[in-house]
Parts: sequence; C-alpha cells; structure tokens
Amino acid sequence: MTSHAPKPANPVLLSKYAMEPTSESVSRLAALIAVRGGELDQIAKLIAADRALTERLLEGDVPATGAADEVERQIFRLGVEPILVLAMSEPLINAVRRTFDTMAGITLVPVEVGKGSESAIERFTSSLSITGRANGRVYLRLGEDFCRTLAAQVLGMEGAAATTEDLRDVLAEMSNMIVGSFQSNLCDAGLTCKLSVPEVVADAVFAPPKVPRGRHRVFGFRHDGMLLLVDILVEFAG
Amino acid sequence: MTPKILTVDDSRIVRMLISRALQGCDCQIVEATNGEEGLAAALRENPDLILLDVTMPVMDGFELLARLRQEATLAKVPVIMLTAESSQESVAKADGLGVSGYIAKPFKEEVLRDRINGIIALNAKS
Repeated sequence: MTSHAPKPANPVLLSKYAMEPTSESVSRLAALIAVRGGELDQIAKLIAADRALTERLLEGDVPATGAADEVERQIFRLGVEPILVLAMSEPLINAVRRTFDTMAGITLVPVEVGKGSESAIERFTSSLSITGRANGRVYLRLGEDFCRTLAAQVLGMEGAAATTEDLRDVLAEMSNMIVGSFQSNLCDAGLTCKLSVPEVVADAVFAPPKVPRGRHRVFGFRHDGMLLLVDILVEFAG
Repeated sequence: MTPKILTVDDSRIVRMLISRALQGCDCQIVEATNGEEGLAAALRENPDLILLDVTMPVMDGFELLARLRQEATLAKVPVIMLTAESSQESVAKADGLGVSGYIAKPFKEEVLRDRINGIIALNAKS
C-alpha cells in the first residue's frame, strides 16, 4: 500500500450536488496516510488529538497528561499499519450505522465482540473486496432474524413475506452501499482503490483468508437483541 | 405528456426502491440492469431523465454516460447519478460529463423524489 496525496474537497461541487463535506475521520485518515512514512512523534500527535482513536489504540483510559507519549510507545510496539487499520475502521463504522439508519430506519448500537462467542449467530455472510492502493475485504455477518428484519424494513413488507432471494439481495445491496461509501472515503484520503461486486453466502463457516501481512478487526453492533458483525481485513504491500 | 424515466442499476433492490419512491408520480419507468442495456433502452425509449448507477457489469455508468453524450438525440438528456461511489474524483468526473444531479447511496427516497421532480419541472418549462 503506497500513499498518494489526498484529493482536497471541492466546495463548489459539494454545494452544487448538495453533498456532505469530508468527515473528520476521513480527514484524519488522510493526514495519517500523508505522514505514514514520517516520524513516530508526528503520527502520535495526530492520533493523540483524537480521543476516540486514542482510546481504541490504548484499549482503555486515556491518561490526562502524556497521551502522545503513550501513543508513541504503542505505535513503536505495534507498528504503523495496525494504527492505519484503526483509523480506517472509523469511516467504515460510520458507513455501517448511516446505511442501516437511512435505508432501514435501524439504529445500531456498537457492542464489544467476545472472543469466539459470535460464530453461532451467522446465517448470511456478505463480502466485498477493495483493490488498489488499499487492498482488503469487508464482511457483514448476521443471523436470519436480523436479515429478515432488515429486508422487511428496506422493502416495506412483513418480514415473513420476504423470500430467501429478498434477504440475499437486500444484504448484498446494503453491503454495496456500506463498502462503496467506505471505498470513496479511502479514495478521498489518498488510497485510490476499486470495489468488487458483493457476494452473499448462506450457512458457511466464516473463515477469512489467511493473509501473512493482513490485519483483521471485527466490530459488533446490536439492534433489538440481534447481532451484526462487520469484519475488515486489510493487506499491506511489502 | 407523461415523462419517461430510465433507471440503469444492476441491483433489483435499488430498482424496486426507485419505483416505490416514484409511486404516485405521473411518470413512466423503464429499467435496465447494466450500461449496455441502458444505452439500448435510451436509444429506443428516448427518456426524459436517466437515473444511473456507476459500478455495473458489462458497461459501467461512466462509460454509458460518455456514450450518451456522443449520441445526438441523447446528448442533452438530464442524468442523475445514484451511486455508492461518492469520492471527489467520481463527482468531478460526472460533473465533467454534464450530469444534472449526484445522489450518494445510501439515499432517502424523498431526496430522490424531490430531485427528480425538480428536473422534470425544469424540463417542462423549457
């Protein structure tokens, strides 16, 4: 993965097409990518300026003073790439929540994902790949109940009336919107990449491909007691 | 005369959502599932407005848009991009090809309806 200068937002075009301005999380990712090969203290300062990202990196409370030093030590321990995946995760999480809210009126609540406890819920798994200056794959995993609720909400029908084809097609399109939005964010942050068409499989055991230099993170969301898991797998070129 | 709207999107779900958004609107909807089908439908149907996705099999939305602009009868037909590709580069490319609107997915049906109605009203005046 090589970095390219991010494309500055064109306010005239944004206004002409009534589009939203670049989000803070995308601007931060762009800034991190721009200094990726630079000094650790530069990267640490950028991260320490963002409390949520710092909390996620330090996996706990942020010290009142010396956060940048603690962040720098953590970057030294882990390397820069996991930090970039963390920073990439935020636009993805935002895209997931926004898409469920806009298309289905479903409010997702982020939850901590327990080790191994999530495997029982899966009925459908969708996946899309991104290739280019960022390479990776995003998976959405959910049970039949949640998929049926989602299809019913999107299509405006009773959940019981939705066919298996409806469930698969709705999940595919939701995944396309989520990862398409995420891919656009990556492009705006300087990581130009292309998107594949979505694939949906049913009743498959989730096994992300083993990528020697890949980084895998999983995020959980709940709605009415039902669980959605979102995996991001990013591969960094040598 | 009833305005004719051509929807070009490979997703059955999006085509259903567009039809639902336009329920009650006095217009005729024609559908195509990729750029090649979209071009054939546009030449055959001479639509008043085209709703166009970007990422599609066979021929993508940008290629279709460029081909439309080369056709004498379709060069000025209003096009609204309706796509998950919302990067600055994609928006600038579509703007360069003279689109009338750009709606990023996920989208609200009322936003889509308002933009379509706005363009149809503008066309009717001119």
